[in-house]
Amino acid sequence: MDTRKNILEIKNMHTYFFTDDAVVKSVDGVDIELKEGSTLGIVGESGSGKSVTALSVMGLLMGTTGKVVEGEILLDGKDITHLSDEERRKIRGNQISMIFQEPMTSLNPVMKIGDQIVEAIRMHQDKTKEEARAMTIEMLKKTGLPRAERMVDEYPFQLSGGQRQRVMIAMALVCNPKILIADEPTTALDVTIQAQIIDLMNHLKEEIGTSIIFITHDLGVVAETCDDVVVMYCGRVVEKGNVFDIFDRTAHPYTEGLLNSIPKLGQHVEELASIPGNVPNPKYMPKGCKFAPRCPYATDRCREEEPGFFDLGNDHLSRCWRCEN
Amino acid sequence: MAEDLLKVEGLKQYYPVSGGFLEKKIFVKAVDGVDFEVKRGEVFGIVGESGCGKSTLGKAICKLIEPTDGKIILDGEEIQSYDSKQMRKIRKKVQMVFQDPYASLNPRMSVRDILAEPIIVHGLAKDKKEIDDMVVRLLREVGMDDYHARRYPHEFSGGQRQRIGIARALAVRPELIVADEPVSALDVSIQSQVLNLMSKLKKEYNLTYIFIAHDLSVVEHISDRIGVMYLGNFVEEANKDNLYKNPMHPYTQALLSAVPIPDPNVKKDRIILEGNIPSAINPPSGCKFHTRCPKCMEICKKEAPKKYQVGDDHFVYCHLYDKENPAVNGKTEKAQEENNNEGAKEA
Amino acid sequence: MAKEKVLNEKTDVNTPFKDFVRKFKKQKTAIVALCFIILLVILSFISYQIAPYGINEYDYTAIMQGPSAAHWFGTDEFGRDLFSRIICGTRISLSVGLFSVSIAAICGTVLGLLGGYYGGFLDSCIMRICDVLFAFPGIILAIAIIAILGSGMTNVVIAVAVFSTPTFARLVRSTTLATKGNVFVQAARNIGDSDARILFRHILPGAIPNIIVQYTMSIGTSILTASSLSFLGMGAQPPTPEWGLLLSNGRTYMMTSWHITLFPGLAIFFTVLCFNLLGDGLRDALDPKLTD
Repeated sequence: MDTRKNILEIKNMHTYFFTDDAVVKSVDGVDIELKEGSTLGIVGESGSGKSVTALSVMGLLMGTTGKVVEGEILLDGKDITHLSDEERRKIRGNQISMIFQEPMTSLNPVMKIGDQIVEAIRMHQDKTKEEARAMTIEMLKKTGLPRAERMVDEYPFQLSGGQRQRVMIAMALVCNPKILIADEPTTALDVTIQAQIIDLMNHLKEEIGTSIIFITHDLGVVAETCDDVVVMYCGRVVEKGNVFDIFDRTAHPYTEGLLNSIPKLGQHVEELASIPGNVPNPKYMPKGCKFAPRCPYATDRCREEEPGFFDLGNDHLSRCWRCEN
Repeated sequence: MAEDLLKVEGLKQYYPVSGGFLEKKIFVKAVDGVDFEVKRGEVFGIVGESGCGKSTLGKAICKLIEPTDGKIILDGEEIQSYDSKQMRKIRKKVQMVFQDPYASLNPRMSVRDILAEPIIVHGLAKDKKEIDDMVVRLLREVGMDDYHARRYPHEFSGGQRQRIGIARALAVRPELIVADEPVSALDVSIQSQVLNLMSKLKKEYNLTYIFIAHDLSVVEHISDRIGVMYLGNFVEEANKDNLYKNPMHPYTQALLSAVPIPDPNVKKDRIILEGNIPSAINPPSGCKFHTRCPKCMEICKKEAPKKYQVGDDHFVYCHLYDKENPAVNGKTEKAQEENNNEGAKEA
Repeated sequence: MAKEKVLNEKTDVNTPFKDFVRKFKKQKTAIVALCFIILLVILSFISYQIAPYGINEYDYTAIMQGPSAAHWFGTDEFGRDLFSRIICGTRISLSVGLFSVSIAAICGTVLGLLGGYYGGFLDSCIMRICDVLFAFPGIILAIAIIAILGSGMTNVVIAVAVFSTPTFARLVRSTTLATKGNVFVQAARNIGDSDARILFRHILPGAIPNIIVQYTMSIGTSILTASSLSFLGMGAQPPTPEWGLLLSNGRTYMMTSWHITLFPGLAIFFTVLCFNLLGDGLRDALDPKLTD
């Protein structure tokens, strides 16, 4: 049993989006725990609610029609769900930081890179401009950027995609946050650059001691970076456990389908296994288990009744009737 | 062995970037002299990172852009200088499937109209009834329902749209399909559906594919032969077994080692490449990879490597394998030995 | 519930047109404006039949009378019934607006498509001519054209058409430029579509919503311009019951008989307003950015 304490706990969180004619339940009862100093992977396809979960934790849903309607988010034991915007802002960047998929659009194109990071530091810490600038250069060096002294005075368009993502990481980590949420940080990057960034994140995690939530659809990246894994489908967690349980003792048919549908280097198969059908439209969610329409093992019970979690030992949970015994 | 369906010789595709008044013209050398053949009935994979020119190469083969220089020989016919009228005949032989299934379908046309386009343009049907029949047949071939014909693209998911894109390419019964990143915008579970569909169609209609992608495992799955591109040139060309088990070019080796393996029990030593891909406007001299190459030698900075055969159906563009050059000869054997060892380990 | 959904999935087709209708229904002001425009159009067809008096029926016993039960809008200096003259003027104003803008829309669209799609020298020529036309204030340009062609309603139509054309050309050119870079246009070329087919089947449909909005708005403007020209004595000649001309006639008697200028003025104001409101509503309903 892992005895490290939970730095972040999400308990039964529901995030709904309210449109003119419907309520879209993007996240519908999610429980996630992040242990101190570990990396948690959240895996799911588009529409699984993994990004919305991250935005809910960050309190970045204002300006959208989305709202956390139920449940609580505990940061270090304190409930942050009902804090005011002002209090949320203090936490953001300081205790929880986030990096996004698209490094180009997440940086202000008309502001120098250094100034953007200095601003982030001075928002949370009482530092002079010079001190903040020195911290910025220090941090940029830590992320492995060459010629950091000059780069602080450059603009985002002068950098390549990989360099921009390094700047984003520097910006996110400069205030030594307890938690870093990385939403598909390598999806827009090439494989060789992706390898660089993953390497960097693993390295910085050890150096700074930040706990990381790694959101991705790429199971390969998860296998290489994460200690624990949460698999999401249609706004729910369907399976969670440590990385070896998820990959070696897969319990949920969806996880199984995902693992089987990736082509693996060096293994020649005539036909890939695949999950038939498409992710259901959130406006017409199936009754019962949300995966039943695409599940090869689905029974009448699955179509009628939604399963809860079954504990398979060692904190390995699966939301599937087949795990009942 | 089967005959060559497509042969590309010295293909160059330059884009002018600035070169205003009285200024020297500057070019982006997207594709910078590429030679390869595609045999009838095979799947030729082209893999490379963004900016390596793989998509440009695909478009040039389909003549969606005018190549700057070089020859494209399709089925014995030199098509590189054909105008759009002459190309119309050729388009029945070569078709393209595009990357972005959201942008490649006209949002204002129903699926029926989208699929009817090629049938009408090439006069493949006599009347409306026949067109409708053909559209329905195409939809069924790609695993969709008849009623989908009346719908509009925005009502479909990415995977379904890509199926429509494939059906459109299939409408003229082409011999060669150039698929430009057909699955990279799709979710993993949908990706495998589309890959399986493409394999099935290939068998049914005796198709030849050029499959362009950045994802090495996807390319390796579907292809018979693979060309690895870097900054406008091929660096290695081999059948998939050779390429995976015995990669020769340092770039291929790095690329292969960078692919994350979905198995937490495998911890492998990565070759992490330094730096970024240089700009194609002013590519490095000599071998274009020398700025990031862990095995860079003096000669690499000056001379571009030639194509060396290093095995059965295995070619590499790297000075390390130049047996004639005494400067690199000693290293060559060592390098090869290393590779063989690595290959053996993996196997 | 589930069964119902499956049925809908197969039978309900959500065409762009249905989509437009659904969104247009939310535009209440535009719908009111559209109703009035339809009324005006009907009026223009039957005005001569329903007018209580002939348009040139002189009645020297009732000169410059204010509004009354016999003459709703009063009479002018020759005792002609203003109400009859104004409703009969509907036909003139609407047809001037419709014809001139239709000509401008067709010419502008063709020029914009060609310029935007082929670019290069052709595009430069077209756009420079447009720039020159844009550099003149519309009404001055129209006056210049009338000065060359001579006065009369046909020439007014031509003048207004010429000065509205560049707006359409620019509009269509910009959407053409934006659309021609789309992957689906490349896909069409890949299929083997000819240039003409790409232009009219793939690029033009994308521009149509913009053209419709601009068309509606331009009708208002061109009715206004045509009236102004008549007001200045360069368009319709007396005794045509053209609104601008009526306004011009009434000007002399403004101090004593306000109704002679007020009612034609209101007619112009009301018609132009209706077209502008309709245009605004159409824009909101057709704007792709507002799609859900």
